[in-house]
Order: sequence, then C-alpha cells, then structure tokens
Amino acid sequence: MRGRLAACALAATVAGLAVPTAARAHGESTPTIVTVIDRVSPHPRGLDVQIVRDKAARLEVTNRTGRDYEALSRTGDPFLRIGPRGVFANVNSITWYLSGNPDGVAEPPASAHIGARARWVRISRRSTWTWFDHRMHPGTVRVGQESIDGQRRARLDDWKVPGQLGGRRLDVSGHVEYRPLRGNVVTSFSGPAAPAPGVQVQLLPGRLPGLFLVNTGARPVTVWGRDGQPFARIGRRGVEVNLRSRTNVEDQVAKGRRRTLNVPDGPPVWKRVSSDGHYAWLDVRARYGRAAPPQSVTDGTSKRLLGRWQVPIEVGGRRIALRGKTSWVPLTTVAATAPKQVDRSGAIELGLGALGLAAALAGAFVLRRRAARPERAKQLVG
Amino acid sequence: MRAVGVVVGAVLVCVAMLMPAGGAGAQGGPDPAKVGSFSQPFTEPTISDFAGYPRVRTDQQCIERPKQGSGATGAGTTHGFIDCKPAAGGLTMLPNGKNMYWDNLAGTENVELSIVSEYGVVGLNDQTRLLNTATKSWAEPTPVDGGAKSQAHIDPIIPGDLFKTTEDKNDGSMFCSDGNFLPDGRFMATGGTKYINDPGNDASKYGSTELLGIENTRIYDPKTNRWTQTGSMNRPRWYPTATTLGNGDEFVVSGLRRLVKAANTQDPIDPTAPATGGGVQEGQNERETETFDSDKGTWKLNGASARRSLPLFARMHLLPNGHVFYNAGGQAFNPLGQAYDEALWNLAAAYDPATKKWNELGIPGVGTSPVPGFRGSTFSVMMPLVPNSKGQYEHASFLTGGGVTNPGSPGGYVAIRDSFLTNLNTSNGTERMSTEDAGDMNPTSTPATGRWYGSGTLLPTGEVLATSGADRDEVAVPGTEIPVQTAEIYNPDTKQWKPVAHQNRPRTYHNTANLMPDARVLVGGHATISNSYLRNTTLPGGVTAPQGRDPSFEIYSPPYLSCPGAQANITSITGSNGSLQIQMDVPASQIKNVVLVRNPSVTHVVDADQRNVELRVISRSGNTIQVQQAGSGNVVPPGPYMLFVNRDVNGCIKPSHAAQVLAAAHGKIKPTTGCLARRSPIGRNHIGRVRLGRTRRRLLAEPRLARVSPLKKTAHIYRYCVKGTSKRVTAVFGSKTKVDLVTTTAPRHGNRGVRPGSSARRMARAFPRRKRIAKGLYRANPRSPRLIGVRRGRVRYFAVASKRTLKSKRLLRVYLRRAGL
Repeated sequence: MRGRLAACALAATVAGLAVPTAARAHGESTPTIVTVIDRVSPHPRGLDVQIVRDKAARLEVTNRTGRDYEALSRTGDPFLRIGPRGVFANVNSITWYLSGNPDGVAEPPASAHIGARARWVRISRRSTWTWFDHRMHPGTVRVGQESIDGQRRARLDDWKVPGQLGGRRLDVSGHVEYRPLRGNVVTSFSGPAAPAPGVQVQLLPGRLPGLFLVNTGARPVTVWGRDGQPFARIGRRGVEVNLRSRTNVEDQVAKGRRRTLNVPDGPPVWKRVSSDGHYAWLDVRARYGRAAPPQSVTDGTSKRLLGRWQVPIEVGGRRIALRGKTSWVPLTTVAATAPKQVDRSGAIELGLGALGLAAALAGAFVLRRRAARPERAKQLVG
Repeated sequence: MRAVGVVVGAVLVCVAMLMPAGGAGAQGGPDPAKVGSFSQPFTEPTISDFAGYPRVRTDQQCIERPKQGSGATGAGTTHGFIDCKPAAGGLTMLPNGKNMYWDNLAGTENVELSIVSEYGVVGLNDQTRLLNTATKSWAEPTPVDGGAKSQAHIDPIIPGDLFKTTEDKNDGSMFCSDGNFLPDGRFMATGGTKYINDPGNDASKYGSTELLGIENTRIYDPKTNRWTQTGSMNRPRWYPTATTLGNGDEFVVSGLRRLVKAANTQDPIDPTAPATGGGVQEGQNERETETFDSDKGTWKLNGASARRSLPLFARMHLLPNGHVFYNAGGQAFNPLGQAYDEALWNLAAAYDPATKKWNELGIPGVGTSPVPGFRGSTFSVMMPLVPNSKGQYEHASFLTGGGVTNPGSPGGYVAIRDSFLTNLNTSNGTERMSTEDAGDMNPTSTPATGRWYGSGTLLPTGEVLATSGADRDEVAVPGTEIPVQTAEIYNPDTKQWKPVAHQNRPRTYHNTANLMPDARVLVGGHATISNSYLRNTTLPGGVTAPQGRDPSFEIYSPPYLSCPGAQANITSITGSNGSLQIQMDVPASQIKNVVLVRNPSVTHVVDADQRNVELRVISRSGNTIQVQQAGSGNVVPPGPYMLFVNRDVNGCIKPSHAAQVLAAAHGKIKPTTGCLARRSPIGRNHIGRVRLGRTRRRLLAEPRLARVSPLKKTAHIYRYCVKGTSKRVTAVFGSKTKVDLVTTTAPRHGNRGVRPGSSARRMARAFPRRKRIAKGLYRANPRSPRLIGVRRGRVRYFAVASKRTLKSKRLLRVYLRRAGL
C-alpha cells in the first residue's frame, strides 16, 4: 500500500508538472513530437524531400534532377550520394553507420573515422533513400508549461541537414514541434441510408473511407465517379465497374489490385466483377483532402465542420446524392459522444502523464547509459 | 487549468487504484460459488539448458548467464545475457491431456538501450514447453524452438548481405505463428517471425530492428514429442490466421512480409502527399489466401477471386455451411491505422472454399453498438452451435467484446466496454447477418474500464469467461497500460456480463486462456513490448503492467464447480454411424445437454477453430444418454475434441470431466473404446497405466487413460481390454475405494521375459527368490508386491498388490476372486 501511495504521489506530480515537458525528440515514437521540413534551399525541380514517420523521424530524398545529391555529416564530409546512377554510401564515414538506426548507436569498423578518405559503395540502383538523420533528433527537449496548459503547438528545436547538389550547396532545414493530441478528422455519412426501395448504403470509416452499397431492389443502381463518368452499376444479380472511371482506378490502386493511377481515355468499358447484389469501394471523395486541418481548427475545443462530400447515384433515372461530412472532433467530444467508451475523464492526460513519466525515466536511463558507455561510443554519438 | 485537471485526474485514478481492486473477488472472502476462484500462480521450476549453458533450478523468472566466448546470444553482448523462463504467449490443449505453450518476445530483457535498435540481434527463437497440470510438471519438445529456419527471400533495405544481420538463433520464432489441430490430432503452427537488423551488420548488435514473416509450417506430434517441418506457404506470413475447414484442410489469410520498415510508405492515391499518414508497416497486409492440403502436406494459393485485405490475426470462424466467416476484428497497430484499404476491414464477409469467392455481409454492430464495425485487439467467440429439431445446424452467433476502436480510423487507444452478438443464419447455403446488443463488459467497475486484449473463453455451459487484458492499447505507448485483473462471465440467457474473481497476476499483452478437460480454465501468458520502445522498465508503484514476461499460470475454477453433486465422469462412448451412446456415472435424467468442445489453441486472443457443438439428445436410459452425431465436418471439423455432459442439479449446471475424442471425416466422433497397450511393464505399483492407489474418479480422469474406457465396471472392479488379445487387465477396489490389486492375463505383459503363458520352469529360473504364499501363487521375492499365478505348469497371470492386501491372505483371496482369477 505504501508503495502504491508513493507511486501515486510521484505519478500525480509528474503528470501535473512534467507532462510532457520532457520527451525524447525522435519525433514519431512520441505522437505529440512531430518533425517538420520548413525549407529546401535552393529547391530545384525533381528533388523531393520528405519526412517519413517511423520509430524515429527519417529523412527521405528522391533525386530526379540528373545531378548527384550528397548529404554532409556534421564535419562537412559527404556520407550519402543519391543520383542518376543510384545511391552510394561512404562506408568510411561514421555518420553513414549512425544513419542506419533510430537511436544513433552503431559500432563502425575501424576504417571509418573522422577525416578518413571517402570510399563509395553502391547500395541501391534507385534514386531514393531514407535515413535516420540525427540532426533531426535533438535529444531531450522540453515543452513549455504554457503550451501544455493551452494545448498549443510549440516549436521545440530547429535542425538543418547540409548537402550539395551537383557541387552546389543545398540545405534542408526544419524544426521539431510539440503538437498536442487534440482530436481526429472523422468522416460521417448523412444519408440517405436507404435511397431507394431495396437499396442500403453504409459508410466504411478508415484512413481512406469507403462505401458499401447493397441492392436487393428490382432496379440497378449506377454510381457516378468523381470524374463525372459512371463508375459502377450495382444490380440485384451482380456488379459491373467502368474500367475507364477514375474512381474505379483509384479504388483498385487503394485495394492493391492495380499499381498506376493512369486512367485510360474513352467511353465506358464495363466489366462484371461480382454476381452479388452489393459492392464496397474506397472513395477519395469521402476523405479530408489535406494532411491536417488548419491550426485555427485544431486549436479549438469544439467540433468543427471541415467539409462536405457527396457521391451521386442514379436509380431508375432518378439522381440521388449520398452526402456526408468530414469534421474535426476534439478528443473531449469523442469521449462524450461514445457513452460506452471508457468514462475516464482525463484519460488522455493521464496517458500522456504516464508517457511523460516513461519518457523521463527512459531519458534518464539513456543519459546514464551514455555516461557509462566507453569513450569510443561517446565519440560516435557526439 | 489544464494542469489542475491533469493532477486531479491523476489523483482520482490513484484513489481508484488504492481502493479494492474491483470485482467481488477482491473484497476479501469472496464466495467461490458466486465468483469462482483463481489458484495460486505456479511456474516452471527450471530455466532450460541453452547454448551450452546448464539447466538451472530457480524460483526466479530470469537469471543472468555469464559471458561465454563471443557471446551466446549474438554479437555485441557485453555482459553475458539474461535467460528467462518462457511465458505462454501461445497455448494449446493437446489430446493427451497436456498443455503445450510457446514463448513470445523472447530476449527482450537483453535490450540495453532500445528494442528498435537491438532486437534484431538479441531477439531469440521462442521456446516451447509441455505442461502437465495434474502433476505440475514440465517437459520440452524436440527441438525446443520448433525447429523452423526461414529461407524466405528478403529484400533488405540495403541490397546485398553486408548490411543486415545473419545470425540464425532467431530465424524461425514461433512468435506470431497461428496454431491449429490436424485431423489426426497433431498440432500445426503456421508462419512466425524472423528477426534481423536491417540495416545492421554482424559486427554490432545495433541496427534497425526488423520483424519478417516466415513461410514455414511446422507440425508437432504429441506421440513422439517432436516438431517436424511440412510444406512451406507460398507467402511469408507474420500474424496470419489459419482456420480448419470441414475436410480438415487449413485456410490461411492475412499476415505481413515485414513489419517495421514499410516497402511502400507513400499514399497510393496521392503520391505527392506527405509520406505515410501514420502506418510504419507495409501499406497493405498479405491479400493472397492459401489452403493447406492436410493429406499431402502442401500449400496452394487460392487465386485472384480469393484475395482479400484483412487485418492481422483476423477473427475468422468456420460456419456450419462450410464458409469461413470474417467477424470484422483483428490486430491493428493503433492508433493511426495500418493499411490503405483498412476501411474494408469494417465489412464482415464469408469465404466459400468451393467457389473461392467472398460474400460481403455488411458492418457488424450497426444499429446495436455505439461503435460498430472493425475492432482491434478484441476477442471473437463463436457461441455454441445448437441443432434444430431435425438435428441440423443453421445458425451461428459470435460474441465480440472489448478491444479498441476509433471514429477516424480502424484502431484506437482507449479500451472500450461494449460487446455485441453477430448472428448468422446459414439455412439456405448463404449467410444473412444481424446483430444484437450483449451489454457492457466490466459493468460495475469504477472508474468504468474497458478491456483491451482480453481473452474470451467459451465454457461448456455456453457462458463466456473474459480474463486478462489492459485498459488501453499497449502497442501504442508500451509501459503505460493498466492491467484489468477482474475476470468476468457473460451469461447468454441474460445477455449481461458479471464480474467474478480477481486474477493473481496482471497479464496484458500476449496473455492466453484455455479450457481444460476438468472444466477449469488455465490462464497464463504476458509478454510486453519494452517501455516506450526502449528497454524493459516497469513504472514504479505496481500500477501499470510489469514489463517483460510472466512464465506463471493460474487456474480459474468457475462458479459452476460449486454446484451441488460431483462432477460427472464419462465412462465410455460407443456408437454407430449416426449416434453415440455415452455412459456416465450419473443418471442420464440429470443431463441437460452434451457438448463437444474443440481442443483449444489460442495465441494473440485468436482461436479460429474454437467451437462448442451441442449434440441432439435422442434418448436417456439409466446412466446412458444417446445423442445424434453432428453429421457434418463443417459443424465438427476433423480433429480433437473434449466431450462434456452438463449435469443439471436443481437448476445449477455443472460440466463433467471431459472425455477426449477425435472427430473423423463428416464430423463423426470415434468411440472411445480404446484398449491398453499390447506390451506393458509390470512395476511395483502398476501394470501399464493402471496403478494401485487410484480412485475410480482418478482412473477415469487419468489423461493417459483418457481414451481407454473400462469394458466392465462394477462396484468392485474396472476391467480393461488389451490390444490384440482377448485377455484383460483388472483393477480391484478395496474397502477404501482405491485400487488394491491390479491383475493381467495379457500374453505380452510381464517381467524378466516371463509372461502369462510362460512355463513355470522359466518363471522359476527368472525369479529365483520367489516366495510361495499360497497354492499356485508366488511373490516375485519375499518383499515384492508383484504376484505370479501358476496353474498346470504355466504362468496364468501377473498381479501387483498393495501392502494392505499382501498382509491378509483372506483379502488377497477375495480380491483375486473378484478379478476372476
């Protein structure tokens, strides 16, 4: 009992004072710490740079410029080359070895050391590479109390990955920010759920939402695609899809049945895909079109409408719109509208509190380990 | 203001935690008749020999092994390594009465810095174990890790072999395989895990951990205690689900090729959008399905029409019409979803193995549940299949309980309480689906707590026991989950949950529970992901789940075991093609129903073959009840089953001790009129498997005699047949109801080359110290309990007698007469 009391006192203290002021800023392993690219300077056409979310943030460069892009280490030596002939690694660079794992720990061979002459080994024939660049992982960061209290975003640290493209300097810079878990983008279906006799429609929620239409009625249902072309004909005895519909192509790509988004031109070509009277498809129209809602929306504490969508169908010559909405739903609202879910007010905060405590303990442990590690390992990390 | 809320919230939860731990079981002196009870936990007493290290007897869960050469567990091990007892992350009840289990996440305790940097090297193949709960003894199958070594082609992040690790001690882990029984009672594990660092190199244990699916399929034979390999799948699979079909073949779906580093992180619809909106896995799970031919031992892809995107460890069940039902549940690495087509996981569907096509059925729970559609980390229990008046099975019902969901995407973080039933009518060959509410789980807990990763165990009575789990998704933020230790039981009549006893140990991720033949439930497992994906660090205070693995078990005795009267015993099962005659030691008039329970095999809260089948009662007479065979492999797929009779005593339903049976083609149960072995040694207290000192009940419940029923049972004797002969073994009960004499007349039972039928002269040579104690009756030596009966110059029988019997010639004479000698 005494142990539990002590733990609760500690947890309450940490939850109130430290959540989540200290967190390892590897970024994506902590949902509230996000790594962002601000600028690629200069930014030539054909060079794509992006952050890949992983256990720690990774930097991905795809180079179609026809010139070599080289990423430089902290000491200014190139350790990675991405170009038209593929991807090359400088296997005498310590940074190259460190870029292979999220924690920046490695035991490189003796030939790799600061100042060693570059030795390039091709590691891929493609022109894209993704690596853990630890300049984006600034170690332990602190989130200000004001940001936590106000549940506001906060810029925690800036980072820059120097490089060169065709011999000219090219820097990728960005920052790490605190982005509180504040809610979800939710797709909902307004109806009609039974648009015609024998016809029923249900929404399939997901990252890319879908619709499920059942037709037991006498008349077939034609679903129109987002390119204005008929996409599917769903009858009691089977389903046909238009192979030249953009919505069909997107559905097939999302389902992994097709690789490219190229839509063939021409009049509709129908293919029977099922002998059942129902069909499920993934529909881009029903999803929120941006990566994240504007900050003005996510800063709010109430549910906000982000957009409306509609999918037209036709039954017996009559056009009917299946309508729905995308909304920003703050976490507090989610809890309130799901009465059978855990009724634990502050559960998210507590979760974050525990996470903060875990991160603090882990951070302390990591620091202790690093302090105890042999000198060589210290040099590698430093 | 927010901080104040946080502190208040934390304090409130702490207060809740300091209160009695919830459920009747925690309030000191709970009534087992109402809430049941958990036994004290028990654990394997030794840590196995491994990689040249000796076996060690210890009460500790783990010990530190000294550094040995270059490190037995892989390059870069700086301090030797920590060696632990396996936890039951997978658990199965074998037909021989023993439980086999296998570890999950072996080696996590050797992570020094971060599991995402080291586990590709320090991870180990998970070990398997046999547990005999009757004797609390353990044994090891051979090879102990199942023996798989994946040859699957891997596309490393860096081409070539230079930048990935290649050690072979973790190339074929049982972790994340699925298990099923084959028609002959052997056990098959499908898929599993290969650990590597990719990129990484063999000179260092640091790299980037990768978990790869494997294509291997391995089979364990309880008779030989050995694992062997059978045909490999066409696709490597991590987290697949295999379902036994009506003909005994296996149908496998889903799984992943590689877990951590996605081969495709870009949005397929908008390639210019920021990469990977949350998933760190592949953009899709394996969509190809395959079928295992259990006769040939080969896998075959089912083709394009059978492809389907399904969650990992999809919740699948075989329906009475032979179709395989997907109940819109599985594992999703929450809270950000996993696959680009995850929206399709909301749709329940049924696969027809004949046409190799799926029939989409709609979204379960619509209209009855506040959170319909896909559930992550939920259990899906197939409720009892009950025949109609014609003995046909045309309905199936599935209980979905707890788990996580989220409005925006499949997968959430906070566990939910809601449960509902999905009902399927299969009467005309296809399926019609409807759903109904099944109440909230943990209804009286304060604060209200859902159950993530709870194990659902269908009891012989049709009730469902929920055990273990946590209040939130541990995978999202490992180390912060609070265990749910109050068990609860779902009553199918009231459609309500009721909290029962409190578990002794917290068991969250990779917990397991299996029904045992004595109608109790074996509860085990617990293997966590390292805290915050770093290393195993349990937060202080005992509030959150302990990190690492728990090798212990505890046994839950449900309230029904407190019903008045003894548990019935099934003494024999005989029958013809269409029916079975079940003889018991209680009047048939007291039997409510007869239920076949598929031998369980559970991992990751999935048992696709789980089913209870009620058999239609034809007649009752004396102690014999006659039931109709199910008549279909789709209702009773081939393989091992436990047969229970449920005794109704004044409205209190008490399951019997189960008889272990085997279903053949068309669901036909083979009668259990097995005989004792042809050759048997005669020991100081036993002839073969029949031992002195056993009570009647113990003889009937003896796992090694499970398939051998006495030919004759009277108040004084049990008489057994012997294979290949008309001769018999007889157990004679003394006045204290225990076996005081065992006799055999079988021609291959004996000692020192002397058997019934041997000449008296040969017996005299083999037993020079024999002592004559009556006419034609000898003790093997003056102090031996072994007796040899001789008539007309030939040995007629062997016997072993208790000390009490040997002291009294009169008693011995009476017992021999009862034995027919």
